[in-house]
Amino acid sequence: MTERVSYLRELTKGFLRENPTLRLVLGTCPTLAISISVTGALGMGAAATAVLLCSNVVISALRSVIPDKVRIPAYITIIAGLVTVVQLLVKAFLPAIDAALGIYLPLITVNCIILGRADGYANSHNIPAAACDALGMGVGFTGALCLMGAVREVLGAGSFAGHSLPFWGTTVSPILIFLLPPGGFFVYGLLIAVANRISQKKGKPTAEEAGCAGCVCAASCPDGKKNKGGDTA
Amino acid sequence: MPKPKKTTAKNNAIAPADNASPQKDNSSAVADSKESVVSAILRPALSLFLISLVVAGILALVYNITKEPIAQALAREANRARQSVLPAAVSFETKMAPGGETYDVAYDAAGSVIGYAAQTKAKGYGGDILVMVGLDPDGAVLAVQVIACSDETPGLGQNVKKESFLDQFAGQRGPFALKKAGGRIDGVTSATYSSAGTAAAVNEALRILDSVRTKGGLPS
Repeated sequence: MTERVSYLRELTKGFLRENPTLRLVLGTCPTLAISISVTGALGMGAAATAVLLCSNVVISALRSVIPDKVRIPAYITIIAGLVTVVQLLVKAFLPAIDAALGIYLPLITVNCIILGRADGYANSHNIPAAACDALGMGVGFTGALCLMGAVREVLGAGSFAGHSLPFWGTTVSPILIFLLPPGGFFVYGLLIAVANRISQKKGKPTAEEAGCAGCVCAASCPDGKKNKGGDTA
Repeated sequence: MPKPKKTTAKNNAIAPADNASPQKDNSSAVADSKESVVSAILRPALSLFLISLVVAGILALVYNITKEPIAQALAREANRARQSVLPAAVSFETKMAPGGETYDVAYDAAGSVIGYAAQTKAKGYGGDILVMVGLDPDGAVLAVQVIACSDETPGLGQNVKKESFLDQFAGQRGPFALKKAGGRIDGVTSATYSSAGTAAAVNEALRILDSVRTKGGLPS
């Protein structure tokens, strides 16, 4: 019973409490770059979630085999391999998604969320827990990306998922800056503030406190270890 | 914990005189250092090698499985682009222009030439703009499509993809220039570089196709 409850916790923590984009502030480069449309955000989120799930499971399964000394190169090799597999499959069977994501698809390799979860979580937890963590984080990443994509696309382009809206965008011209990089930062900052506010109401730690456990250096950082212990307890 | 072990072993080997019983400690230190070589170098190297080997094997497998579908998807995409500028065409034949560029000849159901298509690129604002140009046998532009302009500013330069801009080329003969440069193409607002780049790519396609048309002879 306690096991099941804790798996549920591992799954749901990525939705808001430890949302990788809004609370841990990881993987911001693809977040800012790809969130100009809902469709792109959804494709990016799905691809990253697939890679994250596979990498967390593989790394959790190999956690006693991979020597500590070469763990980062080993993780990167595994993640890069998985990303290339996903890229080949997307190119072959979903060329439209490949065209929408462009260079950001191969760049999932260096997405901090994936390496962060591998080194901060998967290498110290069993396979089901790592899979739950990956799913939760992936859904949290996708949700945050889609939320940003919706705000930016509606305000900046006057459309939603490629469909133009009735009034906005035709009668009133859209606010172009939301599609440009500065607009991305505006929306991102506001969403982080909202996520912090919601969490504060619940009496949960703020982004900086929660963020340490997800850090790549958490294993060698005393504060990170402390927080990581708190997470899993 | 291989690191501290190794340091102790080294210290012992370097300064055996400091020890009360150097003989005994020395031998254990040698065994220790042998073990630490294995755990410090061989084991990580071997496991990394094995991981790379497995990953490479999986990649080779997936590459072979997806090779055919990827080629098909690319061919479909190329065909879709050609078809978009020459909607009436039933079949295409890819040929090589004298300058080494490839172009397509479009045929109707009866097998007569109904037009030509060429894909060219020119520098826009942020990078290359890729266009597909369809020409009728007389040399007038049938349609222009922007295939890729992902480096142009979203909402400004990317508007060169819009029909309201591209329709200005249809039915016209080149070369094309923007109104700003004394031509007749109305550039996209706030996107002069992207507009001029698109026009330049169209001109390049006209240059390739004109040399082919005049050389190859027209079906009367």
